[in-house]
Amino acid sequence: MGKLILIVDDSAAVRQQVGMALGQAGFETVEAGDGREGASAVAKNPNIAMVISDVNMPNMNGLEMVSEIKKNPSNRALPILMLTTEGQPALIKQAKEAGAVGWIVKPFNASQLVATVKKLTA
Amino acid sequence: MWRFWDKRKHQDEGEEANKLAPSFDVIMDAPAKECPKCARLPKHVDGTIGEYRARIRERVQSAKDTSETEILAVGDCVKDIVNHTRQYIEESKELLEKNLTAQATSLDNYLGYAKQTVGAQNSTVQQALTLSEDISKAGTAVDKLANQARLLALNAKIESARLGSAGKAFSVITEEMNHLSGEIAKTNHLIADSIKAIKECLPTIMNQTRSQIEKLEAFSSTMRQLKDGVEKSISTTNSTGNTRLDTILELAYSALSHLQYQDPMVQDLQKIDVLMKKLNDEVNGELGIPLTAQDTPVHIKTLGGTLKNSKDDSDPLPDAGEVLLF
Repeated sequence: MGKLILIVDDSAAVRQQVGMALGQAGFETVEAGDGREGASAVAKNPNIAMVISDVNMPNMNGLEMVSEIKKNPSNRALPILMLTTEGQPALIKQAKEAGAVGWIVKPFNASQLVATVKKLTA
Repeated sequence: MWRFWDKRKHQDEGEEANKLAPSFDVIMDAPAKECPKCARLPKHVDGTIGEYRARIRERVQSAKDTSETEILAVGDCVKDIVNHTRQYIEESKELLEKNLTAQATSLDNYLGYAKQTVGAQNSTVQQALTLSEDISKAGTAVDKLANQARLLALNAKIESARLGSAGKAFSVITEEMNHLSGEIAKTNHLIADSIKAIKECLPTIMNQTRSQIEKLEAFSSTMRQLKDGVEKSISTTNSTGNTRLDTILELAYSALSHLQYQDPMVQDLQKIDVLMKKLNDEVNGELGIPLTAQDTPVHIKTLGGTLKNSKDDSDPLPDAGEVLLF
Protein backbone atom coordinates (compact mmCIF):
# COMPACT_ATOMS: atom_id res chain seq x y z
CA MET A 1 0.00 0.00 0.00
CA GLY A 2 1.35 3.41 -1.04
CA LYS A 3 1.90 6.43 1.16
CA LEU A 4 -1.15 8.59 1.84
CA ILE A 5 -1.14 12.08 0.33
CA LEU A 6 -3.72 14.77 1.14
CA ILE A 7 -4.69 16.98 -1.81
CA VAL A 8 -6.25 20.30 -0.81
CA ASP A 9 -7.75 22.39 -3.61
CA ASP A 10 -11.12 24.04 -4.18
CA SER A 11 -11.02 22.84 -7.81
CA ALA A 12 -12.28 19.28 -8.19
CA ALA A 13 -10.52 19.09 -11.59
CA VAL A 14 -7.14 19.89 -10.01
CA ARG A 15 -7.78 17.37 -7.21
CA GLN A 16 -8.66 14.79 -9.87
CA GLN A 17 -5.52 15.43 -11.93
CA VAL A 18 -3.15 15.44 -8.96
CA GLY A 19 -4.91 12.32 -7.62
CA MET A 20 -4.56 10.53 -10.97
CA ALA A 21 -0.88 11.43 -11.30
CA LEU A 22 -0.09 10.28 -7.75
CA GLY A 23 -2.32 7.20 -8.00
CA GLN A 24 -0.45 6.22 -11.14
CA ALA A 25 2.80 6.39 -9.20
CA GLY A 26 1.43 4.11 -6.46
CA PHE A 27 0.39 6.71 -3.87
CA GLU A 28 -2.91 6.66 -2.01
CA THR A 29 -4.76 9.98 -1.92
CA VAL A 30 -7.43 11.76 0.12
CA GLU A 31 -8.97 15.10 -0.84
CA ALA A 32 -10.16 18.29 0.85
CA GLY A 33 -11.97 21.21 -0.77
CA ASP A 34 -10.49 24.05 1.30
CA GLY A 35 -7.97 24.86 4.02
CA ARG A 36 -10.37 24.19 6.86
CA GLU A 37 -11.20 20.72 5.54
CA GLY A 38 -7.49 20.12 4.92
CA ALA A 39 -6.46 21.00 8.48
CA SER A 40 -9.28 18.86 9.82
CA ALA A 41 -8.22 15.89 7.65
CA VAL A 42 -4.64 16.12 8.96
CA ALA A 43 -5.90 16.27 12.56
CA LYS A 44 -8.09 13.21 12.03
CA ASN A 45 -5.73 11.05 9.98
CA PRO A 46 -2.23 10.46 11.37
CA ASN A 47 -1.36 8.29 8.33
CA ILE A 48 -1.14 11.30 6.02
CA ALA A 49 2.47 11.37 4.82
CA MET A 50 2.33 14.64 2.91
CA VAL A 51 0.00 17.52 1.99
CA ILE A 52 -0.25 19.22 -1.42
CA SER A 53 -2.26 22.42 -1.18
CA ASP A 54 -3.53 25.31 -3.25
CA VAL A 55 -3.15 28.84 -1.83
CA ASN A 56 -6.33 30.68 -2.83
CA MET A 57 -9.27 28.80 -1.37
CA PRO A 58 -12.52 29.74 0.34
CA ASN A 59 -13.06 29.50 4.14
CA MET A 60 -9.37 29.07 4.95
CA ASN A 61 -6.58 29.72 2.46
CA GLY A 62 -3.58 27.45 1.98
CA LEU A 63 -1.14 29.56 3.98
CA GLU A 64 -3.50 29.80 6.94
CA MET A 65 -3.94 26.04 6.71
CA VAL A 66 -0.17 25.47 6.84
CA SER A 67 0.07 27.62 10.00
CA GLU A 68 -2.88 25.79 11.53
CA ILE A 69 -1.38 22.35 10.81
CA LYS A 70 2.08 23.34 12.04
CA LYS A 71 0.64 24.55 15.36
CA ASN A 72 0.56 20.90 16.37
CA PRO A 73 4.15 19.85 17.22
CA SER A 74 3.52 16.32 15.94
CA ASN A 75 3.02 17.78 12.44
CA ARG A 76 6.36 19.58 12.36
CA ALA A 77 7.90 16.96 10.08
CA LEU A 78 4.83 16.67 7.84
CA PRO A 79 5.85 18.02 4.41
CA ILE A 80 3.39 20.51 2.91
CA LEU A 81 3.88 21.47 -0.72
CA MET A 82 2.05 24.47 -2.19
CA LEU A 83 0.63 23.95 -5.71
CA THR A 84 -0.77 27.22 -6.99
CA THR A 85 -0.94 29.72 -9.83
CA GLU A 86 0.38 32.33 -7.43
CA GLY A 87 4.03 33.25 -7.67
CA GLN A 88 4.59 36.46 -5.73
CA PRO A 89 7.84 36.29 -3.76
CA ALA A 90 6.03 37.71 -0.71
CA LEU A 91 3.58 34.81 -0.69
CA ILE A 92 6.35 32.27 -1.24
CA LYS A 93 8.25 33.77 1.67
CA GLN A 94 5.13 33.65 3.80
CA ALA A 95 4.62 29.96 2.95
CA LYS A 96 8.21 29.16 3.82
CA GLU A 97 7.89 30.93 7.16
CA ALA A 98 4.63 29.11 7.88
CA GLY A 99 6.38 25.77 7.43
CA ALA A 100 5.73 24.73 3.83
CA VAL A 101 8.52 22.71 2.21
CA GLY A 102 8.08 23.86 -1.37
CA TRP A 103 6.13 25.72 -4.02
CA ILE A 104 5.02 24.56 -7.46
CA VAL A 105 3.47 26.92 -9.97
CA LYS A 106 0.46 25.60 -11.92
CA PRO A 107 0.02 24.24 -14.51
CA PHE A 108 2.11 21.43 -13.11
CA ASN A 109 4.14 18.76 -14.84
CA ALA A 110 2.88 15.37 -13.62
CA SER A 111 6.23 13.57 -13.63
CA GLN A 112 7.94 16.49 -11.91
CA LEU A 113 5.22 16.59 -9.25
CA VAL A 114 5.50 12.84 -8.67
CA ALA A 115 9.31 13.08 -8.46
CA THR A 116 9.00 15.90 -5.91
CA VAL A 117 6.45 13.95 -3.82
CA LYS A 118 8.67 10.85 -3.91
CA LYS A 119 11.64 12.92 -2.80
CA LEU A 120 9.74 14.58 0.04
CA THR A 121 8.17 11.35 1.34
CA ALA A 122 11.31 9.20 1.06
CA MET B 1 -29.71 60.43 -12.33
CA TRP B 2 -28.29 58.21 -9.52
CA ARG B 3 -26.36 59.74 -6.78
CA PHE B 4 -23.49 58.06 -5.03
CA TRP B 5 -23.28 57.91 -1.25
CA ASP B 6 -19.80 57.54 0.15
CA LYS B 7 -19.91 56.38 3.77
CA ARG B 8 -16.45 57.71 4.51
CA LYS B 9 -17.50 61.26 3.65
CA HIS B 10 -20.26 60.97 6.23
CA GLN B 11 -18.17 59.39 8.99
CA ASP B 12 -18.09 62.55 11.10
CA GLU B 13 -21.87 62.69 11.06
CA GLY B 14 -22.18 59.61 13.28
CA GLU B 15 -24.10 56.37 13.02
CA GLU B 16 -27.45 57.98 12.30
CA ALA B 17 -26.24 59.60 9.10
CA ASN B 18 -24.58 56.38 7.94
CA LYS B 19 -27.71 54.40 8.47
CA LEU B 20 -29.16 56.47 5.66
CA ALA B 21 -26.36 55.38 3.36
CA PRO B 22 -26.84 51.99 1.76
CA SER B 23 -23.74 49.87 1.11
CA PHE B 24 -21.84 50.28 -2.14
CA ASP B 25 -23.19 47.02 -3.50
CA VAL B 26 -26.82 48.05 -3.16
CA ILE B 27 -26.47 51.75 -3.76
CA MET B 28 -27.47 51.37 -7.39
CA ASP B 29 -30.80 49.91 -6.42
CA ALA B 30 -31.39 52.46 -3.69
CA PRO B 31 -33.60 55.53 -4.22
CA ALA B 32 -31.72 58.68 -5.22
CA LYS B 33 -30.59 60.76 -2.31
CA GLU B 34 -29.44 64.33 -2.49
CA CYS B 35 -26.07 64.74 -0.86
CA PRO B 36 -23.86 67.76 -1.47
CA LYS B 37 -20.79 66.00 -0.03
CA CYS B 38 -21.02 63.07 -2.46
CA ALA B 39 -19.67 63.30 -5.95
CA ARG B 40 -21.94 62.86 -8.91
CA LEU B 41 -21.11 59.87 -11.12
CA PRO B 42 -19.75 60.81 -14.53
CA LYS B 43 -22.11 60.09 -17.40
CA HIS B 44 -20.10 57.24 -18.97
CA VAL B 45 -20.20 55.21 -15.77
CA ASP B 46 -23.69 56.28 -14.99
CA GLY B 47 -26.23 53.49 -14.85
CA THR B 48 -26.61 50.22 -13.14
CA ILE B 49 -22.91 49.44 -12.63
CA GLY B 50 -23.67 47.16 -9.73
CA GLU B 51 -26.09 45.18 -11.83
CA TYR B 52 -23.53 44.73 -14.63
CA ARG B 53 -20.85 43.72 -12.19
CA ALA B 54 -23.13 41.19 -10.63
CA ARG B 55 -24.00 39.80 -14.05
CA ILE B 56 -20.34 39.63 -15.07
CA ARG B 57 -19.48 37.84 -11.82
CA GLU B 58 -22.33 35.45 -12.42
CA ARG B 59 -21.12 34.73 -15.96
CA VAL B 60 -17.54 34.27 -14.82
CA GLN B 61 -18.65 31.84 -12.13
CA SER B 62 -20.86 30.01 -14.60
CA ALA B 63 -18.02 29.75 -17.14
CA LYS B 64 -15.69 28.56 -14.42
CA ASP B 65 -18.18 25.91 -13.27
CA THR B 66 -18.81 24.74 -16.84
CA SER B 67 -15.11 24.54 -17.57
CA GLU B 68 -14.49 22.65 -14.34
CA THR B 69 -17.28 20.17 -15.11
CA GLU B 70 -16.01 19.58 -18.64
CA ILE B 71 -12.41 19.15 -17.53
CA LEU B 72 -13.54 16.70 -14.84
CA ALA B 73 -15.44 14.75 -17.50
CA VAL B 74 -12.38 14.71 -19.79
CA GLY B 75 -10.29 13.58 -16.80
CA ASP B 76 -12.74 10.74 -16.15
CA CYS B 77 -12.53 9.74 -19.83
CA VAL B 78 -8.73 9.72 -19.71
CA LYS B 79 -8.88 7.61 -16.56
CA ASP B 80 -11.29 5.18 -18.27
CA ILE B 81 -9.15 4.97 -21.42
CA VAL B 82 -6.05 4.24 -19.39
CA ASN B 83 -7.83 1.67 -17.21
CA HIS B 84 -9.31 -0.08 -20.24
CA THR B 85 -5.95 -0.11 -22.03
CA ARG B 86 -4.23 -1.46 -18.92
CA GLN B 87 -6.92 -4.10 -18.61
CA TYR B 88 -6.48 -4.98 -22.29
CA ILE B 89 -2.71 -5.34 -21.86
CA GLU B 90 -3.21 -7.50 -18.77
CA GLU B 91 -5.85 -9.68 -20.42
CA SER B 92 -3.73 -10.10 -23.57
CA LYS B 93 -0.78 -11.11 -21.43
CA GLU B 94 -2.87 -13.63 -19.49
CA LEU B 95 -4.34 -15.05 -22.70
CA LEU B 96 -0.92 -15.38 -24.34
CA GLU B 97 0.55 -17.00 -21.26
CA LYS B 98 -2.41 -19.35 -20.97
CA ASN B 99 -2.13 -20.38 -24.64
CA LEU B 100 1.62 -20.74 -24.41
CA THR B 101 1.35 -22.90 -21.29
CA ALA B 102 -1.31 -25.08 -22.95
CA GLN B 103 0.83 -25.52 -26.08
CA ALA B 104 3.95 -26.20 -24.03
CA THR B 105 2.11 -28.77 -21.90
CA SER B 106 0.73 -30.45 -25.00
CA LEU B 107 4.18 -30.53 -26.59
CA ASP B 108 5.75 -31.87 -23.37
CA ASN B 109 3.13 -34.63 -23.29
CA TYR B 110 3.81 -35.53 -26.92
CA LEU B 111 7.57 -35.52 -26.40
CA GLY B 112 7.16 -37.66 -23.27
CA TYR B 113 5.03 -40.14 -25.21
CA ALA B 114 7.48 -40.16 -28.13
CA LYS B 115 10.43 -40.74 -25.79
CA GLN B 116 8.55 -43.52 -24.06
CA THR B 117 7.75 -45.20 -27.40
CA VAL B 118 11.32 -44.86 -28.64
CA GLY B 119 12.55 -46.20 -25.28
CA ALA B 120 10.23 -49.23 -25.61
CA GLN B 121 11.47 -49.80 -29.17
CA ASN B 122 15.04 -49.68 -27.93
CA SER B 123 14.26 -52.18 -25.23
CA THR B 124 12.60 -54.52 -27.75
CA VAL B 125 15.61 -54.29 -30.05
CA GLN B 126 17.86 -55.07 -27.07
CA GLN B 127 15.73 -58.13 -26.30
CA ALA B 128 15.90 -59.22 -29.94
CA LEU B 129 19.69 -58.96 -29.76
CA THR B 130 19.77 -61.10 -26.63
CA LEU B 131 17.44 -63.66 -28.25
CA SER B 132 19.56 -63.82 -31.38
CA GLU B 133 22.60 -64.46 -29.16
CA ASP B 134 20.66 -67.31 -27.50
CA ILE B 135 19.68 -68.69 -30.93
CA SER B 136 23.32 -68.53 -32.03
CA LYS B 137 24.30 -70.55 -28.96
CA ALA B 138 21.49 -73.03 -29.69
CA GLY B 139 22.72 -73.26 -33.33
CA THR B 140 26.20 -74.19 -32.13
CA ALA B 141 24.66 -76.95 -29.93
CA VAL B 142 22.57 -78.18 -32.88
CA ASP B 143 25.67 -78.25 -35.07
CA LYS B 144 27.46 -80.32 -32.44
CA LEU B 145 24.50 -82.73 -32.29
CA ALA B 146 24.47 -83.07 -36.13
CA ASN B 147 28.19 -83.92 -36.10
CA GLN B 148 27.61 -86.51 -33.38
CA ALA B 149 24.69 -87.98 -35.40
CA ARG B 150 26.89 -88.15 -38.51
CA LEU B 151 29.65 -89.86 -36.50
CA LEU B 152 27.04 -92.24 -35.09
CA ALA B 153 25.74 -93.01 -38.64
CA LEU B 154 29.31 -93.66 -39.83
CA ASN B 155 29.93 -96.12 -36.97
CA ALA B 156 26.57 -97.81 -37.66
CA LYS B 157 27.53 -98.12 -41.33
CA ILE B 158 30.82 -99.84 -40.39
CA GLU B 159 28.97 -102.19 -38.05
CA SER B 160 26.32 -103.01 -40.68
CA ALA B 161 29.07 -103.79 -43.26
CA ARG B 162 30.69 -106.13 -40.80
CA LEU B 163 27.38 -107.99 -40.39
CA GLY B 164 27.15 -108.57 -44.15
CA SER B 165 23.71 -109.35 -45.63
CA ALA B 166 22.16 -109.40 -42.13
CA GLY B 167 23.10 -105.76 -41.69
CA LYS B 168 21.91 -104.62 -45.11
CA ALA B 169 18.60 -103.15 -43.88
CA PHE B 170 20.39 -101.42 -41.03
CA SER B 171 22.76 -99.91 -43.65
CA VAL B 172 19.78 -98.12 -45.28
CA ILE B 173 18.88 -96.52 -41.90
CA THR B 174 22.46 -95.39 -41.36
CA GLU B 175 22.45 -93.80 -44.83
CA GLU B 176 19.29 -91.91 -43.95
CA MET B 177 20.74 -90.85 -40.59
CA ASN B 178 23.82 -89.55 -42.34
CA HIS B 179 21.66 -87.68 -44.85
CA LEU B 180 19.49 -86.23 -42.01
CA SER B 181 22.50 -85.03 -40.04
CA GLY B 182 23.80 -83.38 -43.20
CA GLU B 183 20.46 -81.62 -43.72
CA ILE B 184 20.40 -80.50 -40.04
CA ALA B 185 23.90 -79.07 -40.42
CA LYS B 186 22.91 -77.28 -43.65
CA THR B 187 19.73 -75.81 -42.07
CA ASN B 188 21.70 -74.81 -38.99
CA HIS B 189 24.15 -72.93 -41.19
CA LEU B 190 21.26 -71.15 -42.86
CA ILE B 191 19.86 -70.15 -39.41
CA ALA B 192 23.33 -69.03 -38.30
CA ASP B 193 23.68 -66.87 -41.41
CA SER B 194 20.22 -65.29 -40.78
CA ILE B 195 21.01 -64.68 -37.12
CA LYS B 196 24.29 -63.12 -38.16
CA ALA B 197 22.44 -60.81 -40.56
CA ILE B 198 19.89 -59.89 -37.83
CA LYS B 199 22.69 -59.22 -35.31
CA GLU B 200 24.35 -56.94 -37.83
CA CYS B 201 21.06 -55.03 -38.38
CA LEU B 202 20.13 -54.64 -34.72
CA PRO B 203 22.96 -52.20 -33.76
CA THR B 204 21.96 -50.02 -36.72
CA ILE B 205 18.34 -50.00 -35.49
CA MET B 206 19.59 -49.23 -31.96
CA ASN B 207 21.74 -46.38 -33.24
CA GLN B 208 18.82 -45.00 -35.20
CA THR B 209 16.59 -45.23 -32.11
CA ARG B 210 19.24 -43.52 -29.97
CA SER B 211 19.55 -40.81 -32.61
CA GLN B 212 15.77 -40.36 -32.57
CA ILE B 213 15.82 -39.93 -28.77
CA GLU B 214 18.65 -37.38 -29.04
CA LYS B 215 16.74 -35.47 -31.71
CA LEU B 216 13.60 -35.48 -29.60
CA GLU B 217 15.56 -34.21 -26.60
CA ALA B 218 17.11 -31.47 -28.73
CA PHE B 219 13.66 -30.54 -30.05
CA SER B 220 12.29 -30.50 -26.50
CA SER B 221 15.13 -28.22 -25.40
CA THR B 222 14.53 -25.89 -28.38
CA MET B 223 10.84 -25.76 -27.54
CA ARG B 224 11.65 -24.91 -23.90
CA GLN B 225 13.95 -22.11 -25.07
CA LEU B 226 11.23 -20.91 -27.44
CA LYS B 227 8.70 -20.90 -24.57
CA ASP B 228 11.13 -18.96 -22.34
CA GLY B 229 11.73 -16.51 -25.20
CA VAL B 230 8.03 -15.99 -25.81
CA GLU B 231 7.43 -15.54 -22.07
CA LYS B 232 10.20 -12.96 -21.94
CA SER B 233 8.72 -11.20 -24.98
CA ILE B 234 5.29 -11.12 -23.35
CA SER B 235 6.78 -9.66 -20.19
CA THR B 236 8.77 -7.05 -22.16
CA THR B 237 5.74 -6.16 -24.28
CA ASN B 238 3.67 -5.82 -21.14
CA SER B 239 6.23 -3.63 -19.47
CA THR B 240 6.70 -1.49 -22.62
CA GLY B 241 2.92 -1.17 -22.94
CA ASN B 242 2.65 0.06 -19.36
CA THR B 243 5.52 2.51 -19.84
CA ARG B 244 3.88 3.87 -22.99
CA LEU B 245 0.62 4.12 -21.11
CA ASP B 246 2.33 6.09 -18.34
CA THR B 247 3.65 8.47 -21.01
CA ILE B 248 0.18 8.77 -22.57
CA LEU B 249 -1.27 9.47 -19.16
CA GLU B 250 1.36 12.09 -18.43
CA LEU B 251 0.66 13.79 -21.75
CA ALA B 252 -3.06 13.68 -20.99
CA TYR B 253 -2.43 15.33 -17.60
CA SER B 254 -0.40 18.04 -19.28
CA ALA B 255 -3.15 18.55 -21.87
CA LEU B 256 -5.78 18.81 -19.14
CA SER B 257 -3.60 21.08 -17.08
CA HIS B 258 -3.07 23.41 -20.03
CA LEU B 259 -6.76 23.26 -20.85
CA GLN B 260 -7.45 24.56 -17.39
CA TYR B 261 -5.13 27.49 -17.51
CA GLN B 262 -4.83 28.47 -21.12
CA ASP B 263 -8.15 27.81 -22.75
CA PRO B 264 -10.05 30.64 -24.50
CA MET B 265 -12.40 30.99 -21.57
CA VAL B 266 -9.51 32.02 -19.36
CA GLN B 267 -8.39 34.50 -21.98
CA ASP B 268 -11.89 35.96 -21.97
CA LEU B 269 -11.78 36.14 -18.19
CA GLN B 270 -8.51 38.00 -18.46
CA LYS B 271 -10.15 40.53 -20.80
CA ILE B 272 -13.03 40.92 -18.35
CA ASP B 273 -10.48 41.33 -15.61
CA VAL B 274 -8.78 44.15 -17.52
CA LEU B 275 -12.10 45.88 -18.19
CA MET B 276 -13.17 45.53 -14.57
CA LYS B 277 -9.86 46.99 -13.46
CA LYS B 278 -10.36 49.96 -15.81
CA LEU B 279 -13.85 50.43 -14.46
CA ASN B 280 -12.48 50.20 -10.96
CA ASP B 281 -9.81 52.79 -11.73
CA GLU B 282 -12.33 55.11 -13.31
CA VAL B 283 -14.78 54.89 -10.44
CA ASN B 284 -11.91 55.19 -8.03
CA GLY B 285 -10.45 58.17 -9.89
CA GLU B 286 -13.73 59.97 -10.26
CA LEU B 287 -15.08 59.38 -6.81
CA GLY B 288 -12.05 58.56 -4.72
CA ILE B 289 -13.76 55.38 -3.64
CA PRO B 290 -11.60 52.30 -3.96
CA LEU B 291 -13.64 49.18 -4.51
CA THR B 292 -13.18 46.67 -1.73
CA ALA B 293 -10.88 43.71 -2.35
CA GLN B 294 -13.86 41.46 -2.50
CA ASP B 295 -15.38 43.47 -5.32
CA THR B 296 -12.26 43.78 -7.45
CA PRO B 297 -11.59 41.26 -10.18
CA VAL B 298 -8.19 40.48 -8.67
CA HIS B 299 -9.91 37.59 -6.97
CA ILE B 300 -11.55 36.15 -10.04
CA LYS B 301 -10.12 32.68 -9.78
CA THR B 302 -9.50 30.39 -12.68
CA LEU B 303 -9.83 27.01 -11.09
CA GLY B 304 -7.56 27.69 -8.21
CA GLY B 305 -5.53 30.78 -8.94
CA THR B 306 -5.51 34.49 -9.56
CA LEU B 307 -5.25 35.67 -13.15
CA LYS B 308 -1.73 36.53 -14.14
CA ASN B 309 -2.39 39.97 -15.56
CA SER B 310 -4.15 41.09 -12.42
CA LYS B 311 -0.88 40.90 -10.52
CA ASP B 312 1.46 43.72 -9.87
CA ASP B 313 4.16 43.83 -12.58
CA SER B 314 6.81 44.19 -9.91
CA ASP B 315 6.12 40.62 -8.77
CA PRO B 316 7.51 38.37 -11.49
CA LEU B 317 5.82 34.99 -11.70
CA PRO B 318 7.93 31.85 -11.48
CA ASP B 319 7.64 29.67 -14.58
CA ALA B 320 4.67 27.30 -14.75
CA GLY B 321 5.57 23.88 -13.41
CA GLU B 322 8.66 25.25 -11.68
CA VAL B 323 9.39 23.50 -8.39
CA LEU B 324 10.86 25.58 -5.59
CA LEU B 325 11.96 23.53 -2.60
CA PHE B 326 12.78 25.54 0.51
